[in-house]
Amino acid sequence: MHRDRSTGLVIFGVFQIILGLLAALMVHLAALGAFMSRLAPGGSMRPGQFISGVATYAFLAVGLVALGIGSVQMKRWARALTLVTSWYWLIMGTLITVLMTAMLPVVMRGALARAQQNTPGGPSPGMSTGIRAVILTLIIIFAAFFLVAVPIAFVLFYGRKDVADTVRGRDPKERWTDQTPLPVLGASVALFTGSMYLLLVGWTTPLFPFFGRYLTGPAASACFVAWAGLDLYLAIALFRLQASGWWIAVLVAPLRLLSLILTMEKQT
Amino acid sequence: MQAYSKVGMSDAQLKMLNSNPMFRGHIILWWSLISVVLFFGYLLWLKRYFKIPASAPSDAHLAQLG
Repeated sequence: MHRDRSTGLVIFGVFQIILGLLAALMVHLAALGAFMSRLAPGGSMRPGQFISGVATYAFLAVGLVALGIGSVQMKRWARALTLVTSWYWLIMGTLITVLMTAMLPVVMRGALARAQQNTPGGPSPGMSTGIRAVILTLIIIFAAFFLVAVPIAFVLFYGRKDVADTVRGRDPKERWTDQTPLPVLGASVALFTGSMYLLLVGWTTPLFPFFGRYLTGPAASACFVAWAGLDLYLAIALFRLQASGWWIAVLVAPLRLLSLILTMEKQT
Repeated sequence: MQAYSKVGMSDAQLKMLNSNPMFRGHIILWWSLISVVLFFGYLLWLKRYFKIPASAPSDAHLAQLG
């Protein structure tokens, strides 16, 4: 007999819904940012940048609210998808936090120097060192909480055997997520999300690194659509546990690597 | 930077990008590279779930059994 984790599923589900609503709020802030960018020295935001930000936050909001409702209702699919996306969130979040910690002080110093150049009476980089350190620390703590601590809590909770037993007991019917082992489901979800992202980038910022050079315009958009189509096919093939899908994914990955390495070499 | 100008960025935006170490140091390309390498390793690890089904017993083998 397992320990019933219904209360925990409701608490974590409600937390996911709150995070989803915060992401929905960011959609409005992105719109406000686009409006405010007209006043900035760099000029107004491109429509592509605005659409990209809004679409990303809207996708996150819908996903988090749906998973939160599924968790409150103790559905098998919600537990499986929350677990695999939390792992993805944790790995990417850790990388982003490390990158942010390394880059943010340099970016901020440059931004302050530019602000002082543009407005002679503006903030002095020398005088504001203390304040800058406090702001940087707060940003990094904030990022570490949402990008590392929160996904760790989700992975630990939804990965528990008694949580899996609770959802199996409350939702006895076999769901579509039960057909595939969780690690494969994770790869499938990552490829599906990646394909959606490629479509978005192909539409908003058609700039495609292609074996040593950047393609732009319709050629870049066509490449993005082709990659997105391939990733979508691979997501479905892996989900269905097709060995051919695994082989294609493994053969295509080095090609992507080669294209990126050649582009990096040429640009440096 | 020339490529960015082709996707509709203004001169002022390009200047800002150029002064940003995130873009100057090709952080985005490095980021993509690390992501692809990690995902490739993960795909290799997933091989255990993609067993090629055992081939059906051949006629000769069936005849031997019979």
